[in-house]
Amino acid sequence: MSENRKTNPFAPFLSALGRALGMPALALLTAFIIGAIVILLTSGDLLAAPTAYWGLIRGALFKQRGLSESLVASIPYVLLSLGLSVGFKSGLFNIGVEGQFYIGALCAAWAGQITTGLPAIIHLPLALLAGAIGGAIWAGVPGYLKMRTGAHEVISTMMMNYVAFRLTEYVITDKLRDVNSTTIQTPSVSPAAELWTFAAIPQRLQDPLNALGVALVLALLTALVVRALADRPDWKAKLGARRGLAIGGSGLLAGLIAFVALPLLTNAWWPFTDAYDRLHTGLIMAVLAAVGVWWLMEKTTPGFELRTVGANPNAARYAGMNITRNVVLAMAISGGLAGLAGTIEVLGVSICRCLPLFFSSGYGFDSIAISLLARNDPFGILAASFLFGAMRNGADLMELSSGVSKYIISLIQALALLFVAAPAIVRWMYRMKAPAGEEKQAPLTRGWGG
Amino acid sequence: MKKVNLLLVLVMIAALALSACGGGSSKLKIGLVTDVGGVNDKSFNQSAWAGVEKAAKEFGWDAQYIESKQPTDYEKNIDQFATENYDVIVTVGFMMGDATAAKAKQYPKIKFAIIDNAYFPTKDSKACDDTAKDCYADGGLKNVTSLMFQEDQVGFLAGVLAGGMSKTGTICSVAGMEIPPVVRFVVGYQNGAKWIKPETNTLNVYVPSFIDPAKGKETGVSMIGQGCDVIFGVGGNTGNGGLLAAKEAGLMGIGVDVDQYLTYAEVKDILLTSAAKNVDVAVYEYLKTVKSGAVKAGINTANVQNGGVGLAPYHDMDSKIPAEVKTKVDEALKGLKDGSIKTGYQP
Repeated sequence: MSENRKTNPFAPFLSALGRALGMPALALLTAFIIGAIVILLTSGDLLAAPTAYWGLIRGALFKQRGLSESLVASIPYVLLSLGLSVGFKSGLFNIGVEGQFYIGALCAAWAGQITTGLPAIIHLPLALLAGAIGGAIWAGVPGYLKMRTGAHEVISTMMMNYVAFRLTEYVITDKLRDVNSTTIQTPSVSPAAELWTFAAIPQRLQDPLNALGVALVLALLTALVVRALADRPDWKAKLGARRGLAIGGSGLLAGLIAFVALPLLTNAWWPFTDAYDRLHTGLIMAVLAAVGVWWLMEKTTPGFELRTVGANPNAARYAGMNITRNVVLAMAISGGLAGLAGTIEVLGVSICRCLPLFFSSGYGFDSIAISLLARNDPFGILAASFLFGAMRNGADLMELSSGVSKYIISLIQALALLFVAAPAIVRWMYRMKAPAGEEKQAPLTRGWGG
Repeated sequence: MKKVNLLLVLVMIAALALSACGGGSSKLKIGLVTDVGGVNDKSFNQSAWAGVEKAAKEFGWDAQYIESKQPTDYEKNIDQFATENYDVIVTVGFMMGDATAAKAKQYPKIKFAIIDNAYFPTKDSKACDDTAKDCYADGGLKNVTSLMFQEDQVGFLAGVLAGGMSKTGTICSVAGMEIPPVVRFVVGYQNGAKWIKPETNTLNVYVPSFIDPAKGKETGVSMIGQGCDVIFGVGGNTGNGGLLAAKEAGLMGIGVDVDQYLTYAEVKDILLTSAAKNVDVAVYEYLKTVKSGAVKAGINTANVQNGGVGLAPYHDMDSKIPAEVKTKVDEALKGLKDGSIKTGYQP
């Protein structure tokens, strides 16, 4: 940093790069550069950092199952960060997502094992719903307490975390313990409640009931998309009274095609084989959840209310919005998504398809970093979650191939977050000018008073 | 765009060439996957890694470890080694049983060793069908060696010591979950005490947890109330709670698994010894069979004969243990070794 700050020749270029990629990308780049310096200083080997980073990239993307495992690791990040972002946009810091993740996992593990008689078309949605509702309630309570008693959600959700951890431990070791297993875990869920892996989709679709379930989901999605399109002015004029018919008809058609064609097609050709052995359909749910959260927050009235309450509760109250209802709703959505993340880990990733002790290692806390890095933008969250998942997954090979400890990843992530939280640091480093108006964003969360 | 692709291809070719060079030598690559405790847990994982390191150093092999952050990482971590062409993968702990079995089937050419999980006869295991006559030979685990320990033998020795040291004639154990290794410890312990003094009274409680020191302590206190003056803590942190109860009452305790004098300093002054499972020795001995080519799938039991289990040193208590008690312990050890003494444990 010894060069003259007035004459840095790269400043215009870096400013342009910063504008193009956004501050998060520049922050990340800076974090990786500093990480490399740390590796160099601690190892004293010029090649250590390139070897480590190449190992990281190879482990995250190119090695066998690398990409697949990176995706598996990023799925819970997506759902948890989406949950956090809904809270942030509504002016709430739901620091309790880790606890809601546990409660969701617990509820799903319970709902998944109550019976083995149900078909997947009923049992899987039931288990998913149980997990989401569990998380929603666990987060809704602090939301209600905030409005009724003024208990700040940062405190109450954090405390609820500990209750959730101990409660889960109690239930796993006592009430819901698998008596046939010498490992401390809940009983495995019914095969019908398991979340499908990509590799198993062709086989699963051979059951007509499963194909029907998939067809129903696709029909619903198609209808939703057509409905959204039908609201555009040019389509609206053309369709006129036939709007309902168009929506229903397209949904029905898509469902029918899916029901007939998908089992045949996937049986004939399917790209996901052994190389993706743990990749599961939670990936699709995570992407859909991102679209859903974007839609809810940006395109609907409840989303507008949530954002208004987040931006200025007094104005929202003056406009006749029910603050209590909106705060509880925001917390419930937030917790529901977190609960769903835990559910997916139980039903799709855990090898016993059950809930063992020591289930998560801080997905929830990483996700706070991810949603900040992505500035609460749902599609930014998809990207940032993949980045964190890939780094978490690639770190092992990095350590194996270069001897650099995988904990360097935490350092890089922490630095990236620091730079995103304080963009002035990055601007100072690269001698960039602050873009006009950037500082005027709404606050992410409110202080103790508000 | 084309240039970028070309560059990528060149880099990949270079990487391939480099990895190919590495594969040419006869240097074996050993990978160890720890449980969530991590490699510095002062217990199993650390001990297993010590065994791997010792063998790797001696035989000139490469050794690496991956720490599991959570149970859902087991498969992924084993896979990291497998896809990097490791020759031997050691997995630590009962919990990794299913993941190890699944990966062992997927990579039949890699040798696997798992600590504390015997796949057979274990019912309701995902490792193989209940119809298999032997999970290893015909159940699909032809490349898996289970490293097991005869806890009843070292429990017996601890019992001899406890029975010899007790003034009240009542000895007790605060045990963790009632799973086979814990039961072996307890049964051996009680029979050992009765071997040195047949009239010894024995107490035991299985607390259904390994992570509940408060309950362990409570159990210990209540046993002290019934006249017990030597407590064997045999159940992770729950057992540690029992040792703490002994410490606070000024009585004697016996540690478990590792030499707890070194790992649990709070109670070291009341520890007579620890009933240790020498995981490092077992792992090292296993790797020696890999080196010599004598490695076999199946259950590989560590016992007093091969030094896989044994009492830890007496440390500070050495001067307080009478010579005749020490003689009795040595006599029991000799008897267990030559088979003239049975621990009384029936599986």
